Amino acid sequence: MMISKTVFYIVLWGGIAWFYAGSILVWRFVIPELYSLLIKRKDVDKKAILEKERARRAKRQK
Amino acid sequence: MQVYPMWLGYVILFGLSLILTFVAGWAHRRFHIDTVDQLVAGGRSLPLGIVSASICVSWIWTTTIMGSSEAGMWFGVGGGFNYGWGAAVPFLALIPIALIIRKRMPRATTFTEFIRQRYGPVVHKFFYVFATGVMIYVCMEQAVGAGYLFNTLFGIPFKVVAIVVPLVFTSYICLAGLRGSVFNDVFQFMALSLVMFVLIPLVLVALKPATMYQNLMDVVTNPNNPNHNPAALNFFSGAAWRYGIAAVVIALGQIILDQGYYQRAIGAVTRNTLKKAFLLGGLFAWLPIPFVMGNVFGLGALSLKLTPEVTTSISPYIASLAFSGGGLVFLLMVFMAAMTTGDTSMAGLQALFTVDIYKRNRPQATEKQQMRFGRLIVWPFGIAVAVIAVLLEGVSLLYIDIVFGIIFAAPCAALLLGTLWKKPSETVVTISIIAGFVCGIGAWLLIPNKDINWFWGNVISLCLPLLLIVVLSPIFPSKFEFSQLKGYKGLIDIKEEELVGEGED
Repeated sequence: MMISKTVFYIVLWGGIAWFYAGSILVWRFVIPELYSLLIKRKDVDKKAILEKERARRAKRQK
Repeated sequence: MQVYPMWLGYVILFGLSLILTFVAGWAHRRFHIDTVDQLVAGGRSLPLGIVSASICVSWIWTTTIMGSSEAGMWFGVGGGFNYGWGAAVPFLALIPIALIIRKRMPRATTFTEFIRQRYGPVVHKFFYVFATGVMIYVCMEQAVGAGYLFNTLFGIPFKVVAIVVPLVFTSYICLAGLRGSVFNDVFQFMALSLVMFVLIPLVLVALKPATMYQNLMDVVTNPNNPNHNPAALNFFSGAAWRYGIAAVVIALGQIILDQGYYQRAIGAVTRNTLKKAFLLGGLFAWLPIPFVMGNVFGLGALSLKLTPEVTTSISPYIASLAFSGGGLVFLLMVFMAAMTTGDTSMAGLQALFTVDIYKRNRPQATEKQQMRFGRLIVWPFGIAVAVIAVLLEGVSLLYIDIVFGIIFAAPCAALLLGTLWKKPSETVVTISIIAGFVCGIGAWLLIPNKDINWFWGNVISLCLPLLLIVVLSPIFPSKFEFSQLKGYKGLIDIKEEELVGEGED
């Protein structure tokens, strides 16, 4: 079954949009983390991350 | 077909190698890598974005960029998509395995430790061999791919590149272990995505999507078109979907037996970070890349009526349409893909041998002795990879992929089912691995039709063990209980603060 021009555009541009969105999403996390690790020279605080995760889980269960 | 001057190739090869070694040196100084846990597991404190970026580029092989473009040219609009989902399914299978191992055995560092606790020493030895084989193969394939590329574009002797590439990533893994690998991955993720951000719109401007569609219609309808393929605009073409299924089988062993990916899973700061990072890096960021490469570069080549002798060379050509240095920028992208994939597997080899071989056999070894072993053990592997890569000059990458796909598919069922089901026993699993391996290789060698023998070899090697385990396990069940894993003490010293929250529901 041959795809139409519209579907071809959807496939082409959809893939490109997905690529940009996915990569930008990773950048959105990478930049603050690199800033914290490189510029502020702050190590990752596992306890704080766990606390945040627990709080989020508790909020969801309420 | 030398396109660029040789000196430029040497500048790129040695310049980038220097930058990557510098990044690893920085990671070594910044994070005080002075314990085995820091060296092989990054202190189990890698945050979400860093792990996501690392996962994304670790799974971008040279073949992800060039092979998916080729698939677009061979199979049309379904090519890139089928390459993508075929390689993404095994990645999705890895996430629950990594989560289960981390939850049930928080002190484990390698997946082979889980195998030993789950099945016993015999299956453990099988997995040692298969895991070591997968990681050497992955490193070697990157060296061979980079060798072909530099040789084709710059005329640099294949042997020089095949030796330099593995030795560079070996040197920075020796220096900074997992952190060296991960921070180089982040640097390369940024460079790679920036290159693609710029390159893709420029290529599309040059190709013009409306003209592309018209030319693809000609490929479909005109029998005189040199690339005539009636299914080029059929998203559900049978050949493309068969290709996707074969990609699942070939990629499964390459992912779930590669300790390098488990290193990132163990290194992620929490289990939730692990899950999110693998989904973000694998599904959101990685999956569209082969899709885009197939649709833009592969279909672009089809629409331009290109008929290259080797379809792998279409991608640099299409990139050069964007601007005069496009081919060069594309080469940088492929080189980075080779380095990141190679360093992932080399870090995996380092962890496997330092933790599960050296420490297991020398339990009294001090932290300093383990560190020294971890830093030295990568060199014999780096040298072996370089030697094998040099010997493989002239051998097709696709051929290497198919043969190793058959070999590495055999133990996958044992690992997958062993994490989810308590019934498979050591004996049943051992029989299944041997049967899958022998029958898969047998099918490949004995089926006379060269177009399908590789496909059936791969499918049998994966499915026969799966079938044997499912049928035989209820008849000869194991006495294993998952609760036995809870008390596992681990092989290396891990700081208590790194284990906070591990093993919780």
